[in-house]
This record gives sequence, C-alpha cells and structure tokens, in this order.
Amino acid sequence: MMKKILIVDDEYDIASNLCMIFSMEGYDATSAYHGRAALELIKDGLMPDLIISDVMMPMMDGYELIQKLKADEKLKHIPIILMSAAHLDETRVNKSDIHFFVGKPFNLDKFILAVSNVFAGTP
Amino acid sequence: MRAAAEKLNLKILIIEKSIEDLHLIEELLNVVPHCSYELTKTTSGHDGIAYAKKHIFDCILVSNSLTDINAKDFFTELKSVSLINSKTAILLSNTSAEEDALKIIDHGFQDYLVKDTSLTSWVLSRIISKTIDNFKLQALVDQLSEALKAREDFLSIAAHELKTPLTVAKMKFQMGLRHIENNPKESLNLATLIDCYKDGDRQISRLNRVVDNLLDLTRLESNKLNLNLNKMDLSELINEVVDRFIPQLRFSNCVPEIIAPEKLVGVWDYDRLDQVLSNLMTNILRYACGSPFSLEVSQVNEKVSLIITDSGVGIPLEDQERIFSRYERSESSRNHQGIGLGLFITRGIIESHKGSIRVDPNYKNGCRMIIDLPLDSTN
Repeated sequence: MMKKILIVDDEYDIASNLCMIFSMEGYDATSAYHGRAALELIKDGLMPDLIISDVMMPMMDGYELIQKLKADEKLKHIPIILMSAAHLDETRVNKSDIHFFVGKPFNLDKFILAVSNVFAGTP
Repeated sequence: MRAAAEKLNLKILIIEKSIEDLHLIEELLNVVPHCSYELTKTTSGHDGIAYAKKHIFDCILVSNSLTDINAKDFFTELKSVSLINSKTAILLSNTSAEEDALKIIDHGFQDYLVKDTSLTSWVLSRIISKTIDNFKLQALVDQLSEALKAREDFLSIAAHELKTPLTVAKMKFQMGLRHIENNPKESLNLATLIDCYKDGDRQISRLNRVVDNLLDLTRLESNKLNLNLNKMDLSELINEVVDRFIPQLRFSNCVPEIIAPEKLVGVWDYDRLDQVLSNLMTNILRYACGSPFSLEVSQVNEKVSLIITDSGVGIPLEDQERIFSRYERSESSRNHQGIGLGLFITRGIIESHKGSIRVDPNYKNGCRMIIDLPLDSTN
C-alpha cells in the first residue's frame, strides 16, 4: 500500500513540484493550499501517513495546523515535517510536535531521505 | 540643547487645591525670561481631568493634596484615557521627604517639586523645561526603536520573499540533475529536462522581479521612476497577465472574471502596467484565495477605469490608506507572505502615469480597488 503524503503550501510551484517528486519516489502525494484546506481534505476522508507543511500561509498557517492536529485524538499520531524560509519559531510550536524541520531552499536528496526515514522510523 | 534666544510658548495645566499656591505658581511662571506660559488653572482634580481630556498640554502640574481626588487616582484616570502619551506631569509636593515623592513618581509623574521657600521661578521653569525635553527625547528614542524594528521586520520578510523563488529554482535544477544521474544517457527524457530548466528560469525571473521591486522602492523615493510610454492594448495585457496566473489561481481556487472591451488602446508603459496587474493578482492569491474575483476595465471619454473586486478578507477602513505606504500591510494580513511593497510600488507606478488608485470604502464583501488612468499618460 502506497504511503500517503499531504503537502501543504500556498506556493503553487513548491506544492506541485513536491507532489511530483514524491509521486516519482513512490508515494501517494496530494497538496493543499493552506492549513484549513488540509483539514478539509482530512475531514473529507484523506488520512495521510505524513504531512509536510509550510509555515506562512493564508487562512491557517503551519503552526496553527499543527495545534489543530495535535489537539485531535484521531490525528495527533500523524508525523509532521515543517518547512519554512524563516527560522523555526519555538514560541509557537513544540519541537517534539514535529518530526523534522526543513529550511528553504532545501536539498532535495536530503529532503527525500528525511521522508523515507520518517516511514522507516529512524530519526 | 535649546538655543538661548528661542522663545518658548508652553501650555501648562495647574491643578492645585490652594488658591494661594495657585497664584504663587502663576506669579513665578510669569517672571521666567525667554518663556511664555499659557496657563489653565483649577483647584479641582475632577475639573483637571476634564481639561486634560479636552486639551493637549505640554505639562501638567498636580498638587499631591487635592481634596476631591488623590494624585494616584488622578494619574490612573489620565492613563485610562490614554492622554498621558502626549504630555508630561510634575507633582507639586508639600513634603520634602524624597522617599514619599519618589513613590509618587513611580505612579507615572516625571518629576516633583517641593512647595517651600526653595521654589523659585528659575527652579520651576528649569524643571518644566527639563521634563518636557526628557519627554521629547524619550519620544525620539521610541521612534528610532520602532524604525529599527520595522527595518528588521522588512529584512526578514524580504529574505523570505527572495527565498521562495530560490527554493523552486533550486528544486527544479536538482530535479534535472537527479534525472540525469539516475538514468542512463539513452533513457534521458529531453522534455523533462527542458521543463526543469524552463521552470528554473521562470523562477529566476521571479527572483529578479522581487529585486526590481526593492530597487523600485529607491527609485520611487527619489522620484526617478522612468516610464517607457507607448501605444498599447490594456485589454490584451489584462488577459495575458491573468493567463500567466492561471495555474496559481486554479490551485488557490480563485475564479477570475474579466470584463473588458475587445481592445482598449492607450498610451502607457506596458511593463509597468504588467507589474501593477501582477502585484494585484498576487494580492488576490494571498488575501482572497478560494473565492471569485473580477477585473473590469472601461473607458469614459479620455479616462480609463480599472476595477478589481474580490471577495476575500477585505481591508478595514482604518487601513485603507496605510496599505499604500511602504512596508505596510493590513492588520488582517499577518499570516500572509509579502514584502509590503507591492501596493506602494503599484501606487507609485499609477501616479507616475498621472492616475490614481484607491480602495472603495463602501464595498463590504471583500476588497474593491479602483484605478483611474488617463487614456494617454503623456498628456
């Protein structure tokens, strides 16, 4: 069964290319424009095995999305990779709530490895 | 340091229970050289608050022996009506016990004066003058701190804006490289590689536009924004810009509606109006995702009107002028990307074309921007 990845980013070029890359890597990748759209997709039945989310987005940013996910018993287990062009704001997120932080611009090979490590259960 | 010859005219409010003391202070102030004081006097703390609410004073002198209200409550009330930021206050104390006076200073008074034989006109004027100078100095320090903070915020947002196209460009070049490295030479897909390079190149152009926006800021500030005015078709440009944004518009679920005549020929700068429309489209993607929007252009005599209407978060009335200033964004836009220069540059370009841009204050279902341009910007 293909692992499902939900990519959340308001930058069309980043979301669409990451979807393409992870699909080529053998994952079932879907994208959402912002945190609220991601939650709507989940509400509609998508249960991702991993969420890769940007931070700065309209409607609902990455930190708020994490808060909502971690507050939901059914969703709090989903591993999260956070990506941003800015530094991680530790006043807005618990480091333990995210699996990995990717700084933009990222190294694609390392990013792909980080995702496969999430599924392999290695740090 | 104030020049000796500079004549000061200060507005002072005196709140003093004792009429004798009130007259004494007035007399002392009247003999101060190089200064004239416009005095408002009262023996009641409540009346004093009423005056302070209605007028702006350079300094308030408050006795600590008011009978209708104590000085601490008086000051708390002043603070509650947010007037304290625009004035200074000095306590007139009956006691020379420094500890007591200092305690009251803790409540927000800048200084205190003891009403005894040591109180001379010179002492009084010196303390008032020093207090006002300190207050002005503090206001200047606050202003500078705010400017530094704004610069830090701007640099942080600018870095973010530069990194976004850089991320995509780097990703596309790495995708191309991975394709070359992971496939034998004979299986290389030329179309994939061309797509990577084309997309990478597009992102570098976008990066260039961000840098151009930063440079335009300098040009606009020194009025050096040059226009290349030529005959052009505005309807064609609108369609072209919207077409360019179609992938992003689909992704963000924004449905465009263009209402334009088949041709609308005028004399403008094609690239600059492209920049204006691109900035407005970017704003729609940021602030009106998931909703329809329209671009309506029409010509009336020698004028062209372009109305952009979206059903997004809208711009509060109090922000509708401020958003056109540099580095400014609406309060409702804190979660959104953007350098805060788009609308500043947009207005600069429109005004360079002898036109105008404004937010329609009466439109409540989102945002409506109205741009007016002369049909020929050379006139």
